Amino acid sequence: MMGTLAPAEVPIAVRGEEGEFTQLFHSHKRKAFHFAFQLTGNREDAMDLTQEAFLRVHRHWSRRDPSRPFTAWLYSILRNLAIDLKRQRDSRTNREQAVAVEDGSTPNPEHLARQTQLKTRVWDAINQLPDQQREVLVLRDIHGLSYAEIAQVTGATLATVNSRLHDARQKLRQKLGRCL
Amino acid sequence: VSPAETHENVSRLLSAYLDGELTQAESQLVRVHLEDCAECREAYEELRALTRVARELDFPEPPEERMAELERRISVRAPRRFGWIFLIAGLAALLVYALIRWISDPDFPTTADLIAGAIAVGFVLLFLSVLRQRWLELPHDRYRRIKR
Repeated sequence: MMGTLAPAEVPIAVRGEEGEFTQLFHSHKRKAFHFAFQLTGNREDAMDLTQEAFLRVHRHWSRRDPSRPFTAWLYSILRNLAIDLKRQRDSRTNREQAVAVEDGSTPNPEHLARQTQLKTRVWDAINQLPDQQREVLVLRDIHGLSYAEIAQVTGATLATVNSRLHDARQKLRQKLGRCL
Repeated sequence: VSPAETHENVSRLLSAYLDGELTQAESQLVRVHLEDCAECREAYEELRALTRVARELDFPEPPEERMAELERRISVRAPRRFGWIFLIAGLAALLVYALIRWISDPDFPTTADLIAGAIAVGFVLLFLSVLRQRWLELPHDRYRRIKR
Protein backbone atom coordinates (compact mmCIF):
# COMPACT_ATOMS: atom_id res chain seq x y z
CA MET A 1 0.00 0.00 0.00
CA MET A 2 1.11 3.55 -0.56
CA GLY A 3 0.25 4.20 3.05
CA THR A 4 2.91 1.75 4.20
CA LEU A 5 5.44 4.60 4.39
CA ALA A 6 5.60 5.74 7.99
CA PRO A 7 4.91 9.52 8.09
CA ALA A 8 7.99 10.20 10.17
CA GLU A 9 10.29 8.54 7.62
CA VAL A 10 9.83 11.19 4.94
CA PRO A 11 10.01 14.99 5.07
CA ILE A 12 6.81 17.07 5.03
CA ALA A 13 7.20 18.22 1.41
CA VAL A 14 7.79 14.67 0.28
CA ARG A 15 4.83 13.43 2.33
CA GLY A 16 2.64 16.06 0.68
CA GLU A 17 3.74 15.03 -2.83
CA GLU A 18 3.24 11.34 -2.16
CA GLY A 19 -0.01 11.99 -0.34
CA GLU A 20 -1.38 13.81 -3.36
CA PHE A 21 -0.26 11.03 -5.66
CA THR A 22 -1.79 8.37 -3.38
CA GLN A 23 -5.07 10.23 -3.30
CA LEU A 24 -5.18 10.51 -7.10
CA PHE A 25 -4.17 6.89 -7.50
CA HIS A 26 -7.06 5.73 -5.34
CA SER A 27 -9.61 8.03 -6.94
CA HIS A 28 -8.56 7.17 -10.50
CA LYS A 29 -7.47 3.52 -10.48
CA ARG A 30 -10.94 2.13 -11.26
CA LYS A 31 -11.65 4.69 -13.98
CA ALA A 32 -8.21 4.13 -15.48
CA PHE A 33 -8.75 0.38 -15.60
CA HIS A 34 -12.16 0.83 -17.21
CA PHE A 35 -10.77 3.20 -19.84
CA ALA A 36 -7.95 0.76 -20.59
CA PHE A 37 -10.51 -2.04 -20.86
CA GLN A 38 -12.66 0.04 -23.20
CA LEU A 39 -9.65 0.63 -25.43
CA THR A 40 -8.27 -2.90 -25.42
CA GLY A 41 -11.41 -4.96 -24.75
CA ASN A 42 -9.37 -7.30 -22.60
CA ARG A 43 -8.93 -7.46 -18.80
CA GLU A 44 -5.36 -8.69 -18.84
CA ASP A 45 -4.20 -6.01 -21.27
CA ALA A 46 -6.23 -3.40 -19.38
CA MET A 47 -4.47 -4.20 -16.12
CA ASP A 48 -1.04 -4.18 -17.78
CA LEU A 49 -1.78 -0.77 -19.30
CA THR A 50 -3.13 0.61 -16.01
CA GLN A 51 -0.04 -0.55 -14.17
CA GLU A 52 2.36 0.92 -16.72
CA ALA A 53 0.43 4.19 -16.83
CA PHE A 54 0.54 4.70 -13.06
CA LEU A 55 4.23 3.77 -12.91
CA ARG A 56 4.94 6.38 -15.59
CA VAL A 57 2.88 9.00 -13.81
CA HIS A 58 4.75 8.28 -10.58
CA ARG A 59 8.12 8.41 -12.36
CA HIS A 60 7.36 11.85 -13.83
CA TRP A 61 5.36 13.15 -10.87
CA SER A 62 7.84 15.83 -9.87
CA ARG A 63 7.96 17.18 -13.45
CA ARG A 64 4.20 17.25 -14.06
CA ASP A 65 2.42 20.27 -15.49
CA PRO A 66 0.07 21.44 -12.69
CA SER A 67 -2.07 23.36 -15.18
CA ARG A 68 -2.96 20.14 -17.01
CA PRO A 69 -5.83 18.17 -15.45
CA PHE A 70 -4.66 14.89 -13.96
CA THR A 71 -7.37 12.85 -15.71
CA ALA A 72 -6.35 14.16 -19.14
CA TRP A 73 -2.69 13.34 -18.42
CA LEU A 74 -3.45 9.82 -17.18
CA TYR A 75 -5.87 9.05 -20.01
CA SER A 76 -3.48 10.30 -22.68
CA ILE A 77 -0.78 7.96 -21.31
CA LEU A 78 -3.26 5.07 -21.33
CA ARG A 79 -4.31 5.93 -24.84
CA ASN A 80 -0.72 6.01 -26.12
CA LEU A 81 0.01 2.69 -24.42
CA ALA A 82 -3.09 1.17 -26.02
CA ILE A 83 -2.01 2.42 -29.45
CA ASP A 84 1.44 0.88 -28.95
CA LEU A 85 -0.13 -2.39 -27.87
CA LYS A 86 -2.43 -2.44 -30.86
CA ARG A 87 0.52 -1.87 -33.16
CA GLN A 88 2.21 -4.91 -31.67
CA ARG A 89 -0.77 -7.17 -32.23
CA ASP A 90 -4.27 -7.14 -33.56
CA SER A 91 -6.24 -6.60 -30.37
CA ARG A 92 -9.57 -6.84 -32.16
CA THR A 93 -9.28 -10.60 -32.15
CA ASN A 94 -8.94 -10.60 -28.39
CA ARG A 95 -11.94 -8.57 -27.25
CA GLU A 96 -14.02 -9.66 -24.31
CA GLN A 97 -17.65 -8.84 -23.79
CA ALA A 98 -17.83 -6.03 -21.29
CA VAL A 99 -21.47 -6.07 -20.43
CA ALA A 100 -22.59 -9.63 -20.61
CA VAL A 101 -19.50 -11.34 -19.28
CA GLU A 102 -17.72 -10.01 -16.22
CA ASP A 103 -14.81 -12.40 -16.34
CA GLY A 104 -13.48 -13.61 -19.69
CA SER A 105 -12.66 -17.07 -18.36
CA THR A 106 -15.69 -17.85 -16.15
CA PRO A 107 -18.97 -16.21 -17.17
CA ASN A 108 -21.12 -15.37 -14.16
CA PRO A 109 -24.74 -16.45 -14.88
CA GLU A 110 -26.14 -14.15 -12.20
CA HIS A 111 -24.32 -11.20 -13.68
CA LEU A 112 -25.38 -12.18 -17.19
CA ALA A 113 -28.98 -12.29 -16.07
CA ARG A 114 -28.79 -8.78 -14.71
CA GLN A 115 -27.57 -7.26 -17.93
CA THR A 116 -30.15 -6.04 -20.35
CA GLN A 117 -29.98 -7.04 -23.96
CA LEU A 118 -29.84 -3.40 -24.91
CA LYS A 119 -26.66 -2.75 -22.97
CA THR A 120 -24.98 -5.69 -24.63
CA ARG A 121 -26.03 -4.52 -28.06
CA VAL A 122 -24.89 -0.97 -27.37
CA TRP A 123 -21.47 -2.11 -26.20
CA ASP A 124 -21.10 -4.45 -29.18
CA ALA A 125 -21.93 -1.56 -31.48
CA ILE A 126 -19.44 0.74 -29.71
CA ASN A 127 -16.79 -1.96 -30.06
CA GLN A 128 -17.29 -2.07 -33.79
CA LEU A 129 -16.64 1.65 -34.24
CA PRO A 130 -13.31 2.75 -35.74
CA ASP A 131 -10.73 3.33 -32.98
CA GLN A 132 -10.71 7.13 -33.20
CA GLN A 133 -14.48 7.36 -33.00
CA ARG A 134 -14.72 4.77 -30.24
CA GLU A 135 -12.22 6.52 -27.97
CA VAL A 136 -13.99 9.86 -28.34
CA LEU A 137 -17.39 8.31 -27.63
CA VAL A 138 -16.07 6.40 -24.62
CA LEU A 139 -14.42 9.52 -23.19
CA ARG A 140 -17.56 11.60 -23.63
CA ASP A 141 -20.45 9.25 -22.92
CA ILE A 142 -18.90 6.86 -20.42
CA HIS A 143 -16.28 9.01 -18.69
CA GLY A 144 -18.11 12.31 -19.05
CA LEU A 145 -15.13 14.36 -20.29
CA SER A 146 -15.77 17.71 -21.96
CA TYR A 147 -14.76 18.29 -25.59
CA ALA A 148 -11.77 20.34 -24.42
CA GLU A 149 -10.60 17.52 -22.15
CA ILE A 150 -11.07 14.96 -24.92
CA ALA A 151 -8.99 17.18 -27.21
CA GLN A 152 -6.23 17.18 -24.57
CA VAL A 153 -6.30 13.40 -24.25
CA THR A 154 -6.37 12.64 -27.97
CA GLY A 155 -4.33 15.57 -29.25
CA ALA A 156 -7.12 16.40 -31.72
CA THR A 157 -8.74 19.78 -32.27
CA LEU A 158 -12.16 20.63 -30.82
CA ALA A 159 -13.67 20.52 -34.31
CA THR A 160 -12.25 17.04 -34.88
CA VAL A 161 -13.56 15.83 -31.53
CA ASN A 162 -16.98 17.21 -32.41
CA SER A 163 -16.95 15.62 -35.84
CA ARG A 164 -15.75 12.20 -34.63
CA LEU A 165 -18.37 12.15 -31.90
CA HIS A 166 -21.11 13.09 -34.34
CA ASP A 167 -20.03 10.38 -36.77
CA ALA A 168 -19.77 7.78 -33.99
CA ARG A 169 -23.25 8.53 -32.71
CA GLN A 170 -24.70 8.49 -36.21
CA LYS A 171 -23.22 5.05 -36.79
CA LEU A 172 -24.61 3.80 -33.50
CA ARG A 173 -28.04 5.18 -34.32
CA GLN A 174 -27.98 3.45 -37.68
CA LYS A 175 -26.84 0.19 -36.14
CA LEU A 176 -29.17 0.16 -33.17
CA GLY A 177 -32.12 1.79 -34.89
CA ARG A 178 -35.37 1.11 -33.10
CA CYS A 179 -33.71 -0.60 -30.12
CA LEU A 180 -33.20 2.84 -28.65
CA VAL B 1 -30.69 29.85 -45.60
CA SER B 2 -33.35 27.48 -46.92
CA PRO B 3 -35.28 25.20 -44.52
CA ALA B 4 -33.51 22.19 -46.05
CA GLU B 5 -30.10 23.73 -45.32
CA THR B 6 -31.17 24.58 -41.76
CA HIS B 7 -32.34 21.00 -41.32
CA GLU B 8 -29.00 19.72 -42.58
CA ASN B 9 -27.04 22.10 -40.33
CA VAL B 10 -29.10 21.27 -37.26
CA SER B 11 -28.78 17.54 -37.79
CA ARG B 12 -24.99 17.98 -37.63
CA LEU B 13 -25.27 20.10 -34.48
CA LEU B 14 -27.51 17.73 -32.51
CA SER B 15 -24.66 15.76 -30.99
CA ALA B 16 -22.89 18.86 -29.66
CA TYR B 17 -26.26 20.33 -28.57
CA LEU B 18 -26.87 17.25 -26.45
CA ASP B 19 -23.49 17.78 -24.79
CA GLY B 20 -24.04 21.49 -24.20
CA GLU B 21 -21.04 22.33 -26.37
CA LEU B 22 -22.69 24.82 -28.73
CA THR B 23 -22.61 28.60 -28.66
CA GLN B 24 -25.70 30.41 -27.49
CA ALA B 25 -26.70 31.28 -31.07
CA GLU B 26 -26.26 27.70 -32.28
CA SER B 27 -28.24 26.34 -29.33
CA GLN B 28 -31.04 28.76 -30.08
CA LEU B 29 -31.07 27.65 -33.74
CA VAL B 30 -31.32 23.98 -32.73
CA ARG B 31 -33.99 24.64 -30.09
CA VAL B 32 -36.23 26.49 -32.54
CA HIS B 33 -35.73 23.89 -35.27
CA LEU B 34 -36.52 21.01 -32.91
CA GLU B 35 -39.92 22.52 -32.17
CA ASP B 36 -40.89 22.22 -35.83
CA CYS B 37 -38.98 19.19 -37.12
CA ALA B 38 -40.24 15.75 -36.05
CA GLU B 39 -37.33 13.99 -37.76
CA CYS B 40 -34.69 15.96 -35.83
CA ARG B 41 -36.69 15.52 -32.59
CA GLU B 42 -36.65 11.78 -33.09
CA ALA B 43 -32.93 11.81 -33.86
CA TYR B 44 -32.30 13.90 -30.76
CA GLU B 45 -34.32 11.53 -28.55
CA GLU B 46 -32.39 8.55 -29.93
CA LEU B 47 -29.10 10.29 -29.18
CA ARG B 48 -30.27 11.00 -25.63
CA ALA B 49 -31.31 7.38 -25.15
CA LEU B 50 -27.98 6.22 -26.55
CA THR B 51 -25.90 8.37 -24.21
CA ARG B 52 -28.07 7.31 -21.25
CA VAL B 53 -27.48 3.61 -21.98
CA ALA B 54 -23.76 4.21 -22.58
CA ARG B 55 -23.49 5.95 -19.21
CA GLU B 56 -25.11 2.96 -17.51
CA LEU B 57 -22.86 0.31 -19.05
CA ASP B 58 -21.11 -1.94 -16.56
CA PHE B 59 -17.50 -2.93 -16.88
CA PRO B 60 -15.37 -5.50 -15.08
CA GLU B 61 -13.78 -4.38 -11.86
CA PRO B 62 -9.97 -4.23 -11.76
CA PRO B 63 -8.37 -7.35 -10.29
CA GLU B 64 -7.76 -6.47 -6.62
CA GLU B 65 -4.61 -8.54 -6.22
CA ARG B 66 -2.88 -6.84 -9.14
CA MET B 67 -3.99 -3.40 -7.96
CA ALA B 68 -2.56 -4.13 -4.50
CA GLU B 69 0.66 -5.34 -6.13
CA LEU B 70 0.83 -2.11 -8.13
CA GLU B 71 0.42 -0.05 -4.95
CA ARG B 72 3.23 -2.03 -3.33
CA ARG B 73 5.50 -1.44 -6.33
CA ILE B 74 4.84 2.30 -6.20
CA SER B 75 5.38 2.46 -2.43
CA VAL B 76 8.74 0.72 -2.87
CA ARG B 77 9.77 3.20 -5.55
CA ALA B 78 8.75 6.28 -3.60
CA PRO B 79 11.52 6.23 -0.97
CA ARG B 80 14.03 5.21 -3.65
CA ARG B 81 13.29 8.37 -5.61
CA PHE B 82 13.76 10.53 -2.54
CA GLY B 83 16.92 8.54 -1.75
CA TRP B 84 18.34 9.65 -5.11
CA ILE B 85 17.32 13.25 -4.47
CA PHE B 86 19.05 13.29 -1.08
CA LEU B 87 22.13 11.50 -2.44
CA ILE B 88 22.57 13.94 -5.35
CA ALA B 89 21.91 16.98 -3.14
CA GLY B 90 24.41 15.68 -0.57
CA LEU B 91 27.11 15.03 -3.18
CA ALA B 92 26.58 18.50 -4.70
CA ALA B 93 26.91 20.11 -1.26
CA LEU B 94 30.06 18.08 -0.58
CA LEU B 95 31.58 19.19 -3.91
CA VAL B 96 30.89 22.86 -3.19
CA TYR B 97 32.30 22.52 0.34
CA ALA B 98 35.46 20.78 -0.98
CA LEU B 99 35.95 23.51 -3.62
CA ILE B 100 35.65 26.27 -1.04
CA ARG B 101 38.14 24.53 1.25
CA TRP B 102 40.56 23.95 -1.65
CA ILE B 103 40.41 27.57 -2.86
CA SER B 104 40.88 28.95 0.65
CA ASP B 105 43.88 26.65 1.27
CA PRO B 106 47.24 28.59 1.48
CA ASP B 107 48.82 25.94 -0.78
CA PHE B 108 46.24 26.65 -3.54
CA PRO B 109 48.06 26.55 -6.90
CA THR B 110 49.06 29.80 -8.59
CA THR B 111 47.59 30.98 -11.91
CA ALA B 112 50.66 29.67 -13.78
CA ASP B 113 50.20 26.25 -12.16
CA LEU B 114 46.52 26.20 -13.22
CA ILE B 115 47.40 27.08 -16.84
CA ALA B 116 50.07 24.40 -16.97
CA GLY B 117 47.61 21.92 -15.47
CA ALA B 118 44.95 22.81 -18.07
CA ILE B 119 47.44 22.23 -20.91
CA ALA B 120 48.48 18.88 -19.45
CA VAL B 121 44.85 17.79 -19.06
CA GLY B 122 44.20 18.90 -22.67
CA PHE B 123 47.08 16.75 -23.94
CA VAL B 124 45.90 13.72 -21.99
CA LEU B 125 42.33 14.10 -23.29
CA LEU B 126 43.52 14.45 -26.89
CA PHE B 127 45.74 11.39 -26.55
CA LEU B 128 42.90 9.32 -25.08
CA SER B 129 40.53 10.50 -27.80
CA VAL B 130 42.93 9.52 -30.61
CA LEU B 131 43.58 6.19 -28.90
CA ARG B 132 39.82 5.49 -28.66
CA GLN B 133 39.29 6.43 -32.30
CA ARG B 134 42.07 4.07 -33.42
CA TRP B 135 40.57 1.29 -31.34
CA LEU B 136 37.10 1.82 -32.84
CA GLU B 137 38.53 1.81 -36.37
CA LEU B 138 40.37 -1.49 -35.86
CA PRO B 139 38.75 -4.36 -37.79
CA HIS B 140 36.84 -6.40 -35.21
CA ASP B 141 36.26 -9.67 -37.00
CA ARG B 142 35.50 -12.33 -34.40
CA TYR B 143 36.10 -15.05 -37.01
CA ARG B 144 39.54 -13.75 -38.11
CA ARG B 145 41.38 -16.58 -36.39
CA ILE B 146 39.38 -19.22 -38.24
CA LYS B 147 41.19 -20.68 -41.26
CA ARG B 148 39.14 -20.34 -44.43
